[in-house]
Amino acid sequence: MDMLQTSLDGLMIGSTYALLGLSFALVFGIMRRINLAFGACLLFGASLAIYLEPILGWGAWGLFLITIVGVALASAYVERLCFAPHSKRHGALTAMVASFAVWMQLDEISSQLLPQRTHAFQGLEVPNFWWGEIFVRGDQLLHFAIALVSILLLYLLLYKTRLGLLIRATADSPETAHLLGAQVPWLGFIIFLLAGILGGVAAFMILSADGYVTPLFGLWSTFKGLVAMIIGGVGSLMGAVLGGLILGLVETHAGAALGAEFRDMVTFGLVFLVLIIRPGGLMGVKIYRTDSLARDRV
Amino acid sequence: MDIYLASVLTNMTLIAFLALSAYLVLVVGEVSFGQQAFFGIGAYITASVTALAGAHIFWGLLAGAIGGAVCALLLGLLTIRLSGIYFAISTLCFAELLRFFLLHIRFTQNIDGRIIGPDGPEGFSNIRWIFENHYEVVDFLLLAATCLTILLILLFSLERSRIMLGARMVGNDPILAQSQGLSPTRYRLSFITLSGAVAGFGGGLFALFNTHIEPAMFGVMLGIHGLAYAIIGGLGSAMGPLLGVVLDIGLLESIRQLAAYRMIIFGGLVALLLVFRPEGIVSPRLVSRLKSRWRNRHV
Amino acid sequence: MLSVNNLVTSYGLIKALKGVSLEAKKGAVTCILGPNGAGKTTLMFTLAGILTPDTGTVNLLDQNLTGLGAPKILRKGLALVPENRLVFADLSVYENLLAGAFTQSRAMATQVSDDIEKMYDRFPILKDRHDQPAGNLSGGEQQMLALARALMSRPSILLMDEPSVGLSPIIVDEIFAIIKQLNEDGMSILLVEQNATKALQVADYFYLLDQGKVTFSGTPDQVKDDDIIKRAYLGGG
Repeated sequence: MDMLQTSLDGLMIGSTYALLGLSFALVFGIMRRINLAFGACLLFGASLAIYLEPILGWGAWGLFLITIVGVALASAYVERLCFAPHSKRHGALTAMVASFAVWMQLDEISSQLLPQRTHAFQGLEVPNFWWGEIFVRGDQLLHFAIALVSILLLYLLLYKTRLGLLIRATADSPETAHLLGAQVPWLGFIIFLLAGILGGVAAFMILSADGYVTPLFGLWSTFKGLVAMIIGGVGSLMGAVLGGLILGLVETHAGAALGAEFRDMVTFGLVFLVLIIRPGGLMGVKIYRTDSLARDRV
Repeated sequence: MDIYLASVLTNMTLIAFLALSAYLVLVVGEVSFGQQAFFGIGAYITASVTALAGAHIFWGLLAGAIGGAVCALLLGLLTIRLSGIYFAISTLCFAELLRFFLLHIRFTQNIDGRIIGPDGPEGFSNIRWIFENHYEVVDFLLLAATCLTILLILLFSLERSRIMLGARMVGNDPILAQSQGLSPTRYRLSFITLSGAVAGFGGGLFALFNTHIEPAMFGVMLGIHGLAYAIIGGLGSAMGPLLGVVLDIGLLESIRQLAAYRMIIFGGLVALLLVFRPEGIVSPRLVSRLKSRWRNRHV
Repeated sequence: MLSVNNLVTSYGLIKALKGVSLEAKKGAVTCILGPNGAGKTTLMFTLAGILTPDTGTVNLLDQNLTGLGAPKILRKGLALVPENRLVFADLSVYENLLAGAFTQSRAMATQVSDDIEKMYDRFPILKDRHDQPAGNLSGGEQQMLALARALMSRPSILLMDEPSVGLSPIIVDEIFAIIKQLNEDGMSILLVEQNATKALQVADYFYLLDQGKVTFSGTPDQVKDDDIIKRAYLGGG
């Protein structure tokens, strides 16, 4: 039963990681870029939400909404300043460093909004219940449902709309990504916006489940997103979802078995092993030496 | 010299080692998020050799450099088939795993009434070399600057030799480099190992200057900073990362008055700089042009 | 001059070359035709030493090149101009040429300088752009640079993988004129091409590679007479 409880908890957390991973996978899989400011955008959204809460008084759902809007805004800003100017093939590294600079910027802005080291983050008031011998946190179940809905919506967008077709075509070939990016200059913007929205949802879920936000949240969520994407297979959207779920499961079990301290190390060890043994991740993204995917510098 | 200025300059010198180590990996075409680990290992080893074993600073720094090199070589061998983002993430994981290892080392001795030695998350205190040898900040600055200058001379002579050309060929296109007769693997491993040595040496100096080190100091942020300095400064020559450090830290310090808003302004400025000069300041293009003008100076 | 015998190369479990045998005679332009995926680039990479064959032999002027790595093969006189991967984009034109001479020993520095001057004479456009990053050059200029770089290693035989790909017809004409000139000056050339019409203008002997095997070999006249080739490569009978 313990195993089942841990696994359930793991899946809940994993669903939030899945969304983080999806955000990264959208940006890397389609545009071949790493957004280091990702976590900082999440922190900014959350900070903005808490800052505005007493002014607007919309409660937890207000926090949810503002977080998403804040993250989306920050993502758009990052895209315009750090990624749009460096959209050519070899601009990946420069864009990444620029996003690092903006990471610093957003972190500082968030500190200005939330001067204390820890701030309470109100969650959705959902009753907890027992399912047989398993304790289910109502809010986490709701989050899981929201995550599922988000993924479903993303799926519909990608597979049932013309925009989605464009995005998927670009994801299939990195060369096309650059070509199409030039022809459809707002494609990158849209993708960052999508990634931001997903990230905002994930941020709300994680923070409201924890009940508080600290300045470390930015770096932490960047790690998680990257790791989920790597485990699943770089650039694969389905992989990112699976990777996130697996990360959640592994982490929770490791934490239960070995304690919180070892939890993070197990994650890093797992990723390192994945990279050495099967860099293509779960979905087996192929990387031959002559393949340009492997050659691209980050 | 004003102590504050001397401190800032010393910090720049120490970080320059980190930036140069990131540069050495970038030159062979890879991005490393893990140089801070070699910096940290070097710090711990140098601290141990000088404070615990009481050896001369020369041996301490040498040991630090070798320690960094060995760890880097290990990483290089493990990741031999990896490239691009896979390599980058694996360096991150490796660095965090190393840091975890540092968080759990406890080996303290009571020497002259002081607790000396690595003590888990508390770190390593009482690295008293500079006190015992009566080194003022300015003296240490001179020491660090001399070491950096020697390193730069080494790197410049590397630049003039074909080794650097080979490294850049590998960095540009490993398969094409192979068809020109180079072994990309050999270049990669050599440069990664060298980068570990440089970072380790810098870390050793850092430990001596700070007199106290702890694992929290050697996190990802430090490494990404080093990386950023190298890229902003430009990868055309070893001067690039140096310039990046001077510019960034100099700029940051000069707007110190603006206190809290420092990072907001600084971050924005850096991103803007990169919009206008995406290849950094001392870009390979610029260096090529300068070199050719020098070559054809009699024409 | 270059004789290849029963070459088998695999990518993992897939055999890309299933026993290829061919000969490139000294002083001739030998052309390999074939559809995409036939194994042409695999063949080139194997000959140049970037890939290692499972079985088979490669001999250049009685020297066994089989299994030697790319550096040694380059030193023995076989230079490859790869497809689509022409130049070191961030290095200047000058540095690209220097890169071509990498395997020459340090003592040969003067010879290398002279060779670079010769390349500038032969390809004046490279001289004009000598300190520009190679990535800035146009497609045709990059192809020329790639050619010049390969020549810097003073090869006995030059391998070219699809030199016409992605270039406009005028530039293709220029490139092929250069190829013809090089051949007339005595260089042996092994060419992989899709553009059979152009290849017919310069090549002395043809092979057809299909799914990892040689399915045809013959002179230009035999090529022009062959139905398969006519249909596939020359636009109908």
